[in-house]
Amino acid sequence: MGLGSRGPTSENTLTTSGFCGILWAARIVKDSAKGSLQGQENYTAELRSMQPWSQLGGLRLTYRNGGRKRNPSSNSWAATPTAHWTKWKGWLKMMNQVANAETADSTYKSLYKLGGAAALIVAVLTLSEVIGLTFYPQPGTVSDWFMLFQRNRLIGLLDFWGLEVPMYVMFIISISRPLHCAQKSQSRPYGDRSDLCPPGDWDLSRNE
Amino acid sequence: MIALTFALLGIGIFLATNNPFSMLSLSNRYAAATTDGERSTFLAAGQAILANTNQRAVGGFNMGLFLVSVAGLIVSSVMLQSNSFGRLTAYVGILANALSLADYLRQTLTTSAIVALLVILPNALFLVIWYVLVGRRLYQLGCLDRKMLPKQS
Repeated sequence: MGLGSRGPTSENTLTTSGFCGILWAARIVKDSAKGSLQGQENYTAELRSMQPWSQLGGLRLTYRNGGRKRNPSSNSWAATPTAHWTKWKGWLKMMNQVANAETADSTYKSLYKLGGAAALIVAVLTLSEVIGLTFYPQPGTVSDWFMLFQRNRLIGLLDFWGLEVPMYVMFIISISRPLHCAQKSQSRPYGDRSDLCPPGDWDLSRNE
Repeated sequence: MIALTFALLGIGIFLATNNPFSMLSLSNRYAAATTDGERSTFLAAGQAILANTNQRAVGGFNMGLFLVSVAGLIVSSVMLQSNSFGRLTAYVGILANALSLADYLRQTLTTSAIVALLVILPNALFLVIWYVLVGRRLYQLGCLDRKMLPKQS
């Protein structure tokens, strides 16, 4: 029994799904060859718009294939109550995937911004430390240190590398993102990132 | 992963050996001491804390700072091979962290204040520039939403 016997809708859906898949694959190959940021942006947009449609196509196929039972007497396909449940389960799954992708997107963007803010804070703290140590040089002996702490606690803490404690915490926050990002862009080919990388992690062309 | 391990280890060592609040506490107790014996005890404890810091400023070799500099060098070299960060960012990072490591060599070779300034000041300057470049780029990546990013040199 060919696919056509299941009705024109399933055939159209299969064609649409196949077309989406081919177009998608062509876009990946084209953008990989092109390697431009604009191409990657188009790819991102296309991926976001086409992936649900491809899933929808898959859903319709599931509905036609799995949701209907073949009637042996009339040799035809009949709808069963499970068809509606399969359809709604598929829809819910698709909606959850879209929602999860959006959440991951915003989370990763927040992490990037956090890393950026941490790096800028480290820069400010480093500059403050250099200025502080220039204007308030460190004492030579222990008794001088004690006197400095009694005279001005803030300067004493600053001179005793007190700023380096928050600086290093920020340093870890700031380098963990670049490392993660750089590692991803090194280890994966471009076409692999559709399902593994969150949208914030697209490899960005240096355009040099 | 190696860089992150080095950085975490270095920061752990640094935090374990540099505690300004212990010094502050000892200073308060020294000020409140009534006898010479108590004062000399607190002075000895302060000397021990100061020696434990092992900072370059007091002629020591702080393994924590050394490991953090090595981690920074690894991160910068990874950035150089990555497409997400510009070459300028990577080179500034390599220069800054290499200068930081060179200061350890300088310390063993000479105690000249001029040579020290020639190493330490550019080191601090390049470190600040590196942090600013990395911070700016990360912020741009965080704001990326289907629009072109400015070119990275």
